[in-house]
Amino acid sequence: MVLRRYAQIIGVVLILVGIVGLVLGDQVWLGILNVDIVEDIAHLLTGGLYS
Amino acid sequence: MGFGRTDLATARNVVLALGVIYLVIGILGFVVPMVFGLIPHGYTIFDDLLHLALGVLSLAVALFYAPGGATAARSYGGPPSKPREVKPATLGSLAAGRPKPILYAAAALSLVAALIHLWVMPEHFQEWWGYGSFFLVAASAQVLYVPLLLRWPTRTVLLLGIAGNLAIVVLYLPTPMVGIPFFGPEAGEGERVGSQMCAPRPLSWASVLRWVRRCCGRPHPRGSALSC
Repeated sequence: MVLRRYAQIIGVVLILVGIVGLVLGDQVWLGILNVDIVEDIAHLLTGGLYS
Repeated sequence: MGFGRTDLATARNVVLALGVIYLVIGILGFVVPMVFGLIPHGYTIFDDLLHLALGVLSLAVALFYAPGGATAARSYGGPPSKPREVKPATLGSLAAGRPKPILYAAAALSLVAALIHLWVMPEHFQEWWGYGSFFLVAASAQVLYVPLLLRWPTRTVLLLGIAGNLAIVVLYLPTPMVGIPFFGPEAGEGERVGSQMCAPRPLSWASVLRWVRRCCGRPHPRGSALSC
């Protein structure tokens, strides 16, 4: 159960990060986190796989 | 995998594979932040740390909660796994029946030492690709050693950690005075000693000492315990 629950949580978080990143566009968010289109797509893909 | 109906073995393998990918991306981010032009703004240090953390966490979950393992059997209400017969010749698992704080501390120290090696790696790449590569290899080994140590804390793995960290320490010792031996543009020149230079080595020492204690704290079942 731990493995599935972990995959669910990480997957949802990654998908949200990907969606927020696509909305924000290319920039360095708050000066600390990079947001790029390629990274957003990668987050959506890996999030989908996790979840 | 999480919400799907795939079997646990497949889910574990996917989490394991994604963990390795995130770990590699995390390490790669320190070397080539723009990932060969794929990431125009380049990864920040926080991106790299997040990727590393996600990679290590995924590996740990996939390895520790593997289907068929003791933890998995408990979690899924399955029958308790049969105690494995340990052949005297293949001895080495020190984990059974032993407190784990020392093991976790050694793993944490290895991870911290790796992160500091990654932190100072770019400036060494600027000096010479060989110096940077050394830091990259050392950090990668220390990161990958964490799941290895936690999953298979055998005598061989512990000795491997001791040997690797001792090698780093031994290489470092003469560098402030006589410089880096043999290789690179700064061979034979004493290196500056700053906080960044000093930090990984005490951590490596601490890791070594903990591993030695862990490794030698239990008599060898064949009566040939290492003398420490």
